[in-house]
Amino acid sequence: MTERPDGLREAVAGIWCAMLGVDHVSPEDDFFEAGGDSGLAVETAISLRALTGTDLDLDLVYQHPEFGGLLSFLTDPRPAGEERPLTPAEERLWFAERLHPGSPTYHIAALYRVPGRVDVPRLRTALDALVARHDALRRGFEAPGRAVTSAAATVECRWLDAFGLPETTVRELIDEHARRPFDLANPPLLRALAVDRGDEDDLLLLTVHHLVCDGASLAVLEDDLGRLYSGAEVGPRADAVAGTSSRLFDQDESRAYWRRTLAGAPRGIALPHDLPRTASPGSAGAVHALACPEDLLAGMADLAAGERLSPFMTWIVAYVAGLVSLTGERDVVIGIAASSRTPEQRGEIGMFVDPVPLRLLLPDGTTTRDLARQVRRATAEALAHRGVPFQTVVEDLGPGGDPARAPLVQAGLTYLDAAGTALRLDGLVAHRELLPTGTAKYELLWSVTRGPDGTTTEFEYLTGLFSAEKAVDVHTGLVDAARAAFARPDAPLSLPGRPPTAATSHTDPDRAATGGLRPIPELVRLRAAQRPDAPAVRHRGVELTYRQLDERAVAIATGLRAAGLRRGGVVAVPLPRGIDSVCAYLGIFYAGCAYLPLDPDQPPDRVRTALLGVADAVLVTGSHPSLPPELRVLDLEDLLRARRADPAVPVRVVGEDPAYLISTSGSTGRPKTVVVPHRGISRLVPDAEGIVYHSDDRVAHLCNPAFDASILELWGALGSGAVLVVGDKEDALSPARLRAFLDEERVTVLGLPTALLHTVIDFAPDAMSGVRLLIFGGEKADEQRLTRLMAHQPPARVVNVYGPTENTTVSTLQRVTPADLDPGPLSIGRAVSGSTAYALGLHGEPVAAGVEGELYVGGEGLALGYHGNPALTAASFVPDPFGPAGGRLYRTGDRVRPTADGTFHFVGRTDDQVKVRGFRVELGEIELALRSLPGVTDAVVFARATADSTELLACVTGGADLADAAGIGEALRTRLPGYMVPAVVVTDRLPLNANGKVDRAALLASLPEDLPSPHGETGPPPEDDPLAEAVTALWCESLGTADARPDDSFVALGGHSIKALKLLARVDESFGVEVDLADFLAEPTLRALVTAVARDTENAPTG
Amino acid sequence: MSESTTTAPEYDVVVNDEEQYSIWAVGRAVPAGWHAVGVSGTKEKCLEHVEEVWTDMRPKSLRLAMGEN
Repeated sequence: MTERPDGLREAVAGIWCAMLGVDHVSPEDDFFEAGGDSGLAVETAISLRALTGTDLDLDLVYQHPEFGGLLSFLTDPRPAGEERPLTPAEERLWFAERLHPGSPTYHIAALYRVPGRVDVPRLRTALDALVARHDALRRGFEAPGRAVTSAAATVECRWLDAFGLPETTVRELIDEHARRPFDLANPPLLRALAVDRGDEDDLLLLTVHHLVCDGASLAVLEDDLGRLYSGAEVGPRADAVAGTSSRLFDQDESRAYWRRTLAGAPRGIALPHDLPRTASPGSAGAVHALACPEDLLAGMADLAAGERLSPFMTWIVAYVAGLVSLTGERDVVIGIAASSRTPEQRGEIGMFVDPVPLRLLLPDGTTTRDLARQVRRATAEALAHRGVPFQTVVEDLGPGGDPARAPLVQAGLTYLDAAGTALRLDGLVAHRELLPTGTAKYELLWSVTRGPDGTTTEFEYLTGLFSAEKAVDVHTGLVDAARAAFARPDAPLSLPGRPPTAATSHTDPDRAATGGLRPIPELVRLRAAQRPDAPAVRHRGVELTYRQLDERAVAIATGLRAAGLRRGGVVAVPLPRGIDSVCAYLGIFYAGCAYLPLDPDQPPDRVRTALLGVADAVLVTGSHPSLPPELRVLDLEDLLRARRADPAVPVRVVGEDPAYLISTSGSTGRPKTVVVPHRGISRLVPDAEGIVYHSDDRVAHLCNPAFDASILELWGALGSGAVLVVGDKEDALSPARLRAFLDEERVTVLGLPTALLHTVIDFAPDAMSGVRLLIFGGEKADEQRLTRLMAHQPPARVVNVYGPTENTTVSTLQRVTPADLDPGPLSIGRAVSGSTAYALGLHGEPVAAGVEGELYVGGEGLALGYHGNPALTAASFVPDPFGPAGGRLYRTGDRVRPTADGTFHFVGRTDDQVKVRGFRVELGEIELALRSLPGVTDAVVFARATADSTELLACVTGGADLADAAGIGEALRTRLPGYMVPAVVVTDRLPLNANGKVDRAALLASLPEDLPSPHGETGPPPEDDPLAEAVTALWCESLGTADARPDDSFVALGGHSIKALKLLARVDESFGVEVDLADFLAEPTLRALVTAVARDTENAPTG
Repeated sequence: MSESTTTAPEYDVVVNDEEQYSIWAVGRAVPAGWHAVGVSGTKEKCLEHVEEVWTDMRPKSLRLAMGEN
């Protein structure tokens, strides 16, 4: 024993003198000779226990009756460096430290503004005495996991002369000091920094590692340090006497409790973060603090009094109510800090807290009061079973959960009542401010502190998951939801039925002013009034200003009214993309009617089927043969020519008025016609969160108008006052042409079906470098291709959208960034503004994160239903138990897996609907069409995933009069749109399963990977020359067939336009020959292709 | 399929304030804003009933709004 901290000596002397009633003590003084008796000896031992924070023997003074000997023992009671294994709580932090060495995540940095001067020498002495008194402050931690308590340790106490330094510099120095790593092996894990700021108050920063301190310890630390500094007596603490140990269950019983309680619990909570989750979101964090509003405190106090809740329990209720409202989770696990501190340890500094999971189940209709009662029970039980270390609880649950996230608990809550605590330095009273360390302990931690000046809530979050703005939103949302929950304790807790962001995400003041969403026709009229001469639509160099567009639409509306059409009427528009079609749609809106866009290239039969019983009139240009005679056919040219003196005033519509109808494939062979109201469009364009259109945008219109993605282009452009740039079919069908179109037209907003985007990335990845916003969807995206896109001057914003027509085009969306493409499959994102999305199980119950469920969507985008089909509507649009009263949800039939962060991953279909090049196709409709062909007795259609899309295959059986595969394909083309025509295989019979149904699995398995040519294996090579062979090779590769004949039709063999595009791109790549797609499709045979290639390469030595 | 062997779940026909119809599995609490019209049975039977009674598919609020026009 060479050193003897003076603080300890003084403290022991103080106790000695107080006990014996003397005012001075020397090392050789004997306790009993100086008048001490057995009672005083025990009292002294108890006081010394309190002083040193150690479990001294009560006969200590008998063992060391001389003051010097006693002091020596107290200074070095044990051999130096006493080791022990880590406690579970220490082990958890130690592990975190090993994972992120040197991270300040578990630094506790308390800053005090001292109204006066800090006497630094006194502070040093006091700190050393403090360290001598508390074992934990002499404790270090060594690999592989040992706690070593030293006999002595000296606190690093720095003094900083900050006079004249700018505030920000001082703050930086303080932060640096607070965040600088501790050498964990070298105690004390406590240091101090006193900052002298001249005329201003001194600052004192105490930084201590969580391994040796916790929230309650901080109060002990302040109290003891203040006394030691002020020279006040640090006598025996009243609470240092033995108390009753709180009853805990034994380990086995507790482990069984946790296994039972947490069985089937979600391993991740879906937090509403806005940044994409990466494989490792890191531990960088930030804090947002709010003063707790009085009305929330008042509401909490009322419920707490009525339900006998502790303040901590009441905050748990607030937190869970907030989380439920923000996440929609109905089964929530949060972490609360439970202290294992016993009454005897009340005066100790140390690490006594370990997280305890708290699981709360919130079925439909759970009220705040129900939650409060559940919290009360769950918290009491959890605390009684807190003896099991958190790691053990997690290990007992078995594997599961996202390995990139903390196990089981990602959202934590702490509550600290610090109202009575302060650091008192000789009459200077300073309150602590805990500094953020730039890290986060949980993905989201709500730290509630009741301080002398009120209650503060701090929202600590991972900056890898939440942007600062989002964190503010979420924190205020949490507080608002808690307020609402306590304001109406007997009302069901609110769910994120209408996300609070929905109303605020529409930023257009013109729209905000109306207090709701303006129907699109009103919005376009407004644009026309604002900037009448701005270009609205252009096509092939012809441009229409907003004024002209408005005038033409008024003329068309006038004509439609004159023809007897009224609000709610349906007008079919079988027109190709162009200025006419755009004017027609707007004119139909102005007439108060809804438009039914039809692809004019569809087989006439199908056009007729789509029209019959649905449309009240058809708007055409020029002659249009083969329309049903009972329909009122109106010529657009006539309406425009007959400009009347009394133009109709556009009919005002409301959000529920039908805006358009989309005819989709129906499994019964009849198309289903979805009726979409105006609110569906308005909630999406022009300014939904994530896909905002600007008035200076140039928006490409390349989408088939019969496909509902066209509404994004049309009304995104015209609703925002941007230019709609119409492209022709050819513009979209060759990557080279698309690039030219985008460049020439300076397109800034582009929408593409996923399959086409893939092709563009394959052949012209830099084509979209000038695009500001790229929206794609319709099929599962290929992450590798998107990665490639990201590497080639990508558009500024790339958004993946998902959604059925029944919920207006977009239900969920996900911004794609390089980070998303790294860890795994791209998600379809989360619900778009004004919408809800739930993954539900078989009985309509929400599924946990990671569990597959059917996606149900709802909100403002919900369609009115299926035209003329109440039964199908009733079966598909079902009551919404989660949202506002009377609401409906659409069952998408899509199987999804919700992830813990609130996004959805597409898994597949619940039925046999498939997506082909972005179009919805019911296989049943194709089968019906096949069976209706002469000679066909039965047919089965499959969808098979290919490398970049989906291909349709049909197995057909028939009699002697059955046409060959090519003939069947050609026949189908007169009945179905091109994308629905499958590659056909004629077989002898269709295998049946035990139930007598066609065994689809066996049949599909029997088909070779490469679809054989329907012509059989005998096809000779087309030409006897290398060029033809090379072209043939590309042809076969593109169709996935083994061989080919000169007269094979690419189209009849199932080579759809995107396949054709890839074939021609490969031809270009191999031979340097650009074959025009339109030319190729005009005569899509192998012979013609070979000829075209040969003609362009005739100068080359190809023979 | 014969009536006697079916164990398919039974449904109630339900309607909301917009007079939109749907079906809801018997036994689950009917969500707020919806009420059963008193017809229950197989899904097919319920949907047949909906087909009969839901003749004007416009939401009630729209019908009212149009009536004011």
